[in-house]
Amino acid sequence: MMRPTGKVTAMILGAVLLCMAAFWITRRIADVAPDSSEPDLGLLWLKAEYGLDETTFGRVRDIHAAYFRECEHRCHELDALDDRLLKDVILSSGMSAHLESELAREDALCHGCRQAMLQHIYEVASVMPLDSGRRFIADVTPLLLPAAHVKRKN
Amino acid sequence: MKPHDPLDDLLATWDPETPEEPAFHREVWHRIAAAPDELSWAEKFLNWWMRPRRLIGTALACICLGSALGFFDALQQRGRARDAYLSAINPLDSRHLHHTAP
Repeated sequence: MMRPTGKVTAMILGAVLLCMAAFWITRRIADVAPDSSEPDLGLLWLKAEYGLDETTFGRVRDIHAAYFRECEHRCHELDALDDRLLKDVILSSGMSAHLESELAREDALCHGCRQAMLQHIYEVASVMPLDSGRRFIADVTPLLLPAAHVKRKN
Repeated sequence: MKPHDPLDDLLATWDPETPEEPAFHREVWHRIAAAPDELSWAEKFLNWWMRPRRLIGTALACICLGSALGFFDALQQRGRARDAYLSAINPLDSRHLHHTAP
């Protein structure tokens, strides 16, 4: 026969286990990526949030891959330009036409990156069902545009 | 038939009288009244808890609490996933290209 303290401990343990089971089941149901590794998390959020089917999700993945290839190319270009610009800035004793043109080229590249991002958002939205696509644009652009970013931080 | 035994007559007349202590009843009631104090905290707790309504209530409370925590945690994870996506596609974010890259 179990002692009363043992019985109380067993019952409290049972209650904790029940609580943990409820936690695990709910987490599993509501989680966007229960079996996913971290790198896929963002894309899986997109899939869960906008209810994308496998075909649409596959197309989104392809668009993503293309966007990242383009980004990588731009980043290398920007890195090279940054290195040159830093050297020139250090060697110069004041603003020059050359420095101004280098800065303008860097600005143009950054501007191109933002344009590519917006283009990517429109492309992703275009493969989604119409309503989801519109909602996607409305959801993400306020969080991505630079002015909104600064506003959010303040 | 069983033969008559004189012992039967003798036993029939025997009426044992146990002398009752004067305070017997009072002491019994006193002990009953005092009984809960002699229980351990665990026994008292079990007596309180082991009622169908309380057990069902406890189970429901555990399920609700676990579900609420699970839901809250999943919501937070959803927020983290959204941020991971936004960081990955945002060229101005330091984590750009480090997340969600296929």
